[in-house]
Amino acid sequence: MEERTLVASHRATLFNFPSNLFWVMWMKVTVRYFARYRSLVGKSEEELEVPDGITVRELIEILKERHPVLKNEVFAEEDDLADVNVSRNGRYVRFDEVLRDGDIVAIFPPVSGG
Amino acid sequence: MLSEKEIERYDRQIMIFGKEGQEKLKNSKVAVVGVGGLGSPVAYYLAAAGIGTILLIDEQEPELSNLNRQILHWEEDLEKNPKPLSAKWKLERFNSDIKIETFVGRLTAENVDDVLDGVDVIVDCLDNFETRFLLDDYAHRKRIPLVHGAVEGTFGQVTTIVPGKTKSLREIFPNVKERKGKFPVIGPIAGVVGSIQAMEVIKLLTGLGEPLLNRLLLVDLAYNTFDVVELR
Repeated sequence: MEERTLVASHRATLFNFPSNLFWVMWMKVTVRYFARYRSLVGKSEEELEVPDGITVRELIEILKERHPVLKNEVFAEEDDLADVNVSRNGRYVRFDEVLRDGDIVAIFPPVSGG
Repeated sequence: MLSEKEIERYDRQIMIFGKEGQEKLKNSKVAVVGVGGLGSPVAYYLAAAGIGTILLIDEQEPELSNLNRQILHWEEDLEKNPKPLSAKWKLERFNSDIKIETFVGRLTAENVDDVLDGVDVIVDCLDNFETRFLLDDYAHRKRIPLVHGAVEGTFGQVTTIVPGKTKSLREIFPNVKERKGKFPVIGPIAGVVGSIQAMEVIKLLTGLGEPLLNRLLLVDLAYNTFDVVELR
């Protein structure tokens, strides 16, 4: 319940919805973390309940709220999606892609060392 | 034609792709761009496999802190022998049947056409995306394959670009932000990613198996995870 409140209030910030709306539909997505993200978050994956039909970009906003370490150490304030790659159900996607119930979303940073 | 010695030397892999495959390797020229953590295993295994001509490109000399992963360079090379020359010395003694060419310098938009002229496959063993995109553009102009690899920490990624068939590197990584300065990395991840890149080259040249076309392999040796993301 606490979780729902957190996400709902976040949703409210995103869309200026009143945060006590009951009728927001929910869906479950599994988020998988790779490379630096995995060490920062401290786990390889987690299942989250999020508002139905959100986009990848909105999911990332939720992840930043949930794991401030991602906000502080990975995503810069400006141009904050520059350093993240996302796949949905094993397929590479763009940030405006809409998510569906049961999706598995992986986030990984492009690495550049050789 | 393969000599008696070559047929014996490459016997175990001729069992996989035949003398015909071995001749394809012998008649090929592969550029290894960056002779560091990835370039070391890539160049070593390509030399072992009998790639006829290997072109080594790098502008740096090895430093002490390179040696945890850049296994083609030794203490005696430190701050003395540029990486392509250091690697050439060992590879020529390892396999005298093949030709090792070198370019000591940085690839630029001005020199890339001359330096990479006649190359059949490019292997990206670089440490920055700026030069990677230069290779990407060249590969697309000349329609030759580019095997991309990169590592950081215990993590690495590989994909193979074939112009006309796959997305370009620019399309796959449109907003890469360069992280300047030194990055953490451990030898075995460079060994694993470099070995996979060398295998991609062998597959492209012999037709063996299925290269990582429109697929990005993500490896994390800290957790032994190997994941493939579809890039289509």
